[in-house]
Amino acid sequence: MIRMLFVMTLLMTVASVSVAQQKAVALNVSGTVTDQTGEPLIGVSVLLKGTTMGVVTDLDGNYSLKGAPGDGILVFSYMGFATQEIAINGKTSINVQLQDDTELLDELVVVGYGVQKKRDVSTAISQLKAEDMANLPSSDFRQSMAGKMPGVQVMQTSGDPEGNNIMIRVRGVSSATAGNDPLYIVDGVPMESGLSNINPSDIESLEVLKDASAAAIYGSRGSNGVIIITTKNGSSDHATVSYDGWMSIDNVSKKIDLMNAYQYAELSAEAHTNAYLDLHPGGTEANGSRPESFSNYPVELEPYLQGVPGLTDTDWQDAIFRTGFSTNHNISVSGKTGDTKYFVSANYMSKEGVIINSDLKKYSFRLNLDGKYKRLSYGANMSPSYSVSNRVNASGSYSSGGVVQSALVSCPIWPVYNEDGSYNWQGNGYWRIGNDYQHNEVLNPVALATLIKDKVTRFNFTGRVFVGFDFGGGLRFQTSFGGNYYGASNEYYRPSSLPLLGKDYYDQASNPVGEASTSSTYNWLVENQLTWSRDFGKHSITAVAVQSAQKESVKGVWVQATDYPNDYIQTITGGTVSDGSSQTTQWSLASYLARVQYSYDSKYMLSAAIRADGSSRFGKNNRWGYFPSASVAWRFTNEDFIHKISALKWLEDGKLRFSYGETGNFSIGNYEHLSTMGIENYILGEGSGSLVSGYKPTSVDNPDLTWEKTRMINVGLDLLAFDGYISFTGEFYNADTYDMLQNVLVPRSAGYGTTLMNIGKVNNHGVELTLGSRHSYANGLSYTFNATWAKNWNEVKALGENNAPIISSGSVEHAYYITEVGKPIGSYYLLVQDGIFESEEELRAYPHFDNAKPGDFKFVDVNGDGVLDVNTDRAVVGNYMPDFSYGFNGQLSWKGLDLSFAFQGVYGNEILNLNRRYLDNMEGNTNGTVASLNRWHSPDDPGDGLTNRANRKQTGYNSRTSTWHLEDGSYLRLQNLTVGYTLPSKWTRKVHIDKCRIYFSGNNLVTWTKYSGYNPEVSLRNSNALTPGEDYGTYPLSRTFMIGVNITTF
Amino acid sequence: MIMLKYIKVALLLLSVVLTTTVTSCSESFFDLEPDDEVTGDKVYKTENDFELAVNACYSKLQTQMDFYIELCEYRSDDLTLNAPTASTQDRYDIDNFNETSANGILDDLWENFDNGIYRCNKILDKIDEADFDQSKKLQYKGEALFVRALTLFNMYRVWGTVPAARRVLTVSESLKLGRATEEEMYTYIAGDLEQVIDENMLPASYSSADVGRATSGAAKALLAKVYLTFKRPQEAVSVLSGMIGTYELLDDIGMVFDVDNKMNREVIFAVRYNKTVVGEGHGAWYSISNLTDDNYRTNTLTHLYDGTNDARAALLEYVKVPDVNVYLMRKFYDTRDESTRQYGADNILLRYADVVLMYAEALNEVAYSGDPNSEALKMLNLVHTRAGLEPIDIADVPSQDDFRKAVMLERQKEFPYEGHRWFDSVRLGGAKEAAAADGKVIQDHQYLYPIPSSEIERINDTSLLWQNPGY
Repeated sequence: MIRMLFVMTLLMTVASVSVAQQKAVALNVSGTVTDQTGEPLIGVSVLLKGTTMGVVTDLDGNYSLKGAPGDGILVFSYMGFATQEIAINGKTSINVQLQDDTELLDELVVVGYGVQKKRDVSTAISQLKAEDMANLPSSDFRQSMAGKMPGVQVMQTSGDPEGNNIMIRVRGVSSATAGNDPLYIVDGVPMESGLSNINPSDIESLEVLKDASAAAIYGSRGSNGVIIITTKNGSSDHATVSYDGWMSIDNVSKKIDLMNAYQYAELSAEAHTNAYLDLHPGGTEANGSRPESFSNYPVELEPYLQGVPGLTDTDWQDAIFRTGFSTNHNISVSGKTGDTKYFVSANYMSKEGVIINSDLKKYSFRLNLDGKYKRLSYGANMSPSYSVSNRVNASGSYSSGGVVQSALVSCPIWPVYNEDGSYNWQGNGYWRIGNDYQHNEVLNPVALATLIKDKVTRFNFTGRVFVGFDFGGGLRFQTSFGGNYYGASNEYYRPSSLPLLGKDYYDQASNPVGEASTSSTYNWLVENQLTWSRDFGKHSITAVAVQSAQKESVKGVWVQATDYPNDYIQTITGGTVSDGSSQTTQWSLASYLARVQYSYDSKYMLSAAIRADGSSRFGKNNRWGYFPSASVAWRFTNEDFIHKISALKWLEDGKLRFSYGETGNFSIGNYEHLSTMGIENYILGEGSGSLVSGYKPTSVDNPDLTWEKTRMINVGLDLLAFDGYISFTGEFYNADTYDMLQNVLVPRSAGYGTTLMNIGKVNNHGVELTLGSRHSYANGLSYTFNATWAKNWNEVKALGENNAPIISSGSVEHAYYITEVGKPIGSYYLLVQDGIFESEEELRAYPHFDNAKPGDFKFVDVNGDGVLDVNTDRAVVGNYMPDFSYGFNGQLSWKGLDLSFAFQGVYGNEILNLNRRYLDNMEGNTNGTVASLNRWHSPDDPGDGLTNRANRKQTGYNSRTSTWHLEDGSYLRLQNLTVGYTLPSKWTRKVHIDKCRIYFSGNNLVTWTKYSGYNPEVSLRNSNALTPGEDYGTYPLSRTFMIGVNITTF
Repeated sequence: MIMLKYIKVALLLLSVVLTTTVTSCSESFFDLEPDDEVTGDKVYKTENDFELAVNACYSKLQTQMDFYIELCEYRSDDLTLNAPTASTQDRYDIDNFNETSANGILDDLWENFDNGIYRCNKILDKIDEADFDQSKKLQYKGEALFVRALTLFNMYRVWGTVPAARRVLTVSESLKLGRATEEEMYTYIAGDLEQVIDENMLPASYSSADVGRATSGAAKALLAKVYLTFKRPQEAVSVLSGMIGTYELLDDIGMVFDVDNKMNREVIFAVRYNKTVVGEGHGAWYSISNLTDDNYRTNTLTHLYDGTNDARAALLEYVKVPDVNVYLMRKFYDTRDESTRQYGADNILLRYADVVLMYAEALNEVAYSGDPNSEALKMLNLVHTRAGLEPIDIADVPSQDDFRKAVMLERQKEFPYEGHRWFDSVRLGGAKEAAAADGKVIQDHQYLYPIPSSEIERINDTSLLWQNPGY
């Protein structure tokens, strides 16, 4: 390709010479083109204005133009730099320093079904460009959004190497039951799954449509914001090859401070003894001869209690965590030949999780093509990806085999392995056999992670083809067909060597269970789009009409087998099929959209749109929804009278925006409007009886079910001042979501506990601010700095006919949440723990539960009736929504050095840390955190006054979920810090390399938080807005250090 | 240029085709249905539809074990829990007469019972207009009425009067449905069963494959229990007298519960299980993993058979299950299925010993007889002597109250763990004394349980659904 460039330069030179010879006064002009730092720029186009005569700069940034007219003007243009025009004025040597294109306002923004100049945008859109992401390597593009866009909350809820653990909320939570995830559009195709398979290096730009007017283009699906991803395509005339590669090491970012074996032994012995003393006040029987099994503590604790040194003291966290190594290679080729642009990339990533036996290998490819033939344009995108991952069950509770929680609660007295190297199973009920000490059974977490095979293979293919035709006069028609196929298959095997959980099974071989499942999602979309775009003097108008249809089918098959004779053949074939299921579910959506955008001199902008959507998910009576929107913007800095105000001289650009729009939400099950019958079988017949089939009604007919809708107004202000030093964007919005899709509690004489209805209203309003500064100094130093701040208020306005509050439970039945009028959705609704009763006197002085004793929790008598009641003394005690979220990030560069950082934080949210019901329960039946060291021992030794007495049989409702389990979730995280060095092109160009950058980067480096769990971004049930913010065992985040290189050829 | 024209035309055609594809068949584009469930408008038409629907009424009964374990056995002086853990607080509260309207066990059962009634109502609403074999139609209707009456009767015994849906209700109808009166509850429960019997809906027995469906005998036995609960002994006598001799007391009471002798001549109605079928067995009831764990039994029950050679005592002994650290009571003993890890003992709801003792009770309630050959004493002794004991002499039961107490004691010894004791002691009296022996105090209002607060909140109108007094 280097040769190609030479040839082209030569040809153009020859051509220009032949043209120039016709001119009377001709000069030979030459010179060097450099950037601000003095580095030569290669391939800069040097054109004589008004002619076709021109050349491009060579490898040293030199150009030479023969036969140029002495009064001509040279135009220097280069991608990413501001175009400069310089008059020749008889000079023969003209050296030029091109400036970075800081003219942000001429950038294009993807707005859905078209692009718009950023300066003409009248709605609330946040944008992230490839350059912004390039310096922040990550395995999921959504990580690079963190802290960059106000009002877009990016949370990494787990550190699972598989990905799919990022939760995005745009402007708060608006829906109680239907989903709150934004809609993703990748190169025009809506994507529901496989997002973590998108290669971040392929992304050219990413836009988040935040206000309803922008999102209303996607009508029924825009309520939660829209994220539009555009992938790269070729632009330069020569082929460019890029290579990005990194290697990283990952370690768990935090360990929970657990008790060691000696501390645990003391707590446990004390807990059992206190349980004994509660039942037999003043009892003096020695341990081992007390009447109830649980009044005694295990003899194995004795040596620990005596402080014998050197006994087994297992750190179960160390046993399951490891240092993970990951590598990533990405190579792409892009360019343009004739009218055809191309981009091809291939990516390989291998990632080891920080929990043993969890890893991912991913291969992804992309081909983007774009071409033109006369008035015809056409294009195709294709991106297949394939991945294999080995999973561990990290997020489950220990009773369902969750590795992390199992490690946290496992008793440090038991070793990981027995002396003969086999797994130790004593945690699985050793202390319940013979004498039942009532210690919770926990399976060895190392065995759980190692022995279970859980392998997932995924294949994803996203593709789209389009054909367009230019009718002339600004009228263009385009039809496109896009599709997404996503297939996953899972092999699972639980071997006989892993006992079942519980004392009944203790160390016995289990009956193996094998599972095989596949699921495939096929989604197609047809779109016909007619665009008319025209400028009349200062008037500019664009009109779009779109018709589209989309359908998705998800097929799933699941088979389970058991009765394997041994562990050799682990597929279904090796066992006997015991259970299975298969199903297909589908949904379809048909839409019509019309939009007009008008701009007068980039001073007055106006846009209006209406979209109609019909969906299979709603009943016949209410199938179609209509979603209008409109927006206006005024660039007041283009007004003459503003210019006349000398006090506003510093203001370079200013724009005021106002928008209104309606969007919808249909993220509910596929068949919720239908009454359906499901299978429920029974046994009839002589003897032991045989299976007979049964049909039970599973849902009621709901023909009136319809869209949940949101009406949002948005006011925005964009300012640019002091030559671009300072930029500011402020947004205010107010959104009402009504006809909320909700699972309403109904009297159960109707047959069910809940029914999905369109009921209730939620308001979200908020403020988003972005302050930025950027500048390039002549000495080569340049910087960009951005700070974002967003606050959202969420309030339930109405809930059905009688506004009855919705009380839901989290993972534990009495972990209550309430959704009630006047409060945010899904607030915690718990008993309020206010320290402990330190003495008998304190106990007598305040209302308490009947069996409360000194050392038990003091719960607040919330309703003040002098009686404590688990029902009426619950209070709304916070929620998972932050008071505000913020971020700041910046980039500094000087000569070849660059440094960038990104911080993200939230303030004022609470997390329900249900792990504490084991880790901090003072029952001594599982291991726990060192919080227990502050426990109450006696009125004279009350501990920290917050932590209850050790007792295997807790009294006074200590174990009930209360504010004891609630923690402040505020945090500030240094998400990324990167230092890079770009080798001088003087050296690299000798080996045909345009750019070679080496960098060191750290992800998730520091988190400042009071939260005691692994990760304050945790939320167990992402999909349920009524019960958010729960931590009940999760894959911890890792801290990543990486070293990488970016190489681009020319 | 000619080529461009072709392209123009082709594009135009393409867009027309695409547009019409979508719009012309728009109904079928949107009318999507699940393939792992059937839509409701397609069923409740044929004989097979109704058979399947009736089967699902029975399978609901499989999910109601908490009613028997928690509300009947832990509540009574059979079982006790000496201290709660986080997961057994609700049980502990029920056991200690300390339950609140927020009790999760009560709330779950309310929903379960109402859903069971709903399944029956779906059938009863549609079966009359369906067109198939008349005798089958009558049978399915009878079965649905039986399950509905059984469910509503259990609700009545737990909470007293409740809102009772007599047909499928819409949400707005359910919001207006209040508690039935005492008379209505009686009419609903007894009326359904009387209709089943009077119209001969159910056969006395079934051929092999259908064994386990409700029979006319099941309807009669249940009706008798309803009569006794509503204090109508005369009606009970008339229905029970016709049942004597239609079933048998097995000589060896152990054989009644033997899993290899299911649906024997003593069983009138049982909830069926089969451990070899996934989802159709159960985790063993009342299992323990060490013999020392057998501390859920009250002192009363532990010493109930002391000093006698009562054959029933052995039924309460724990036996180790091979290959697992599990001990099961002989009454419900079964081996574990290796594939499904389930157990398969049936839950016998009605058996002939119950009928015999109810008959004795009813006769005595109508009028005490001092005659040593009285039918009542004969009935009592049938069960008593089957346990290998000497007959009770009339001199031991010299008054109506003594006789009542003897029936009560016999029932206590005959049915432990079978879900009778709490309601027996409420019906026959003596619950307070029994609880006192265990150190517990029952207040007057606690013969009924509190209405779940969640249900009261849902209706949100205390003139329709109010809390039971005292709670």
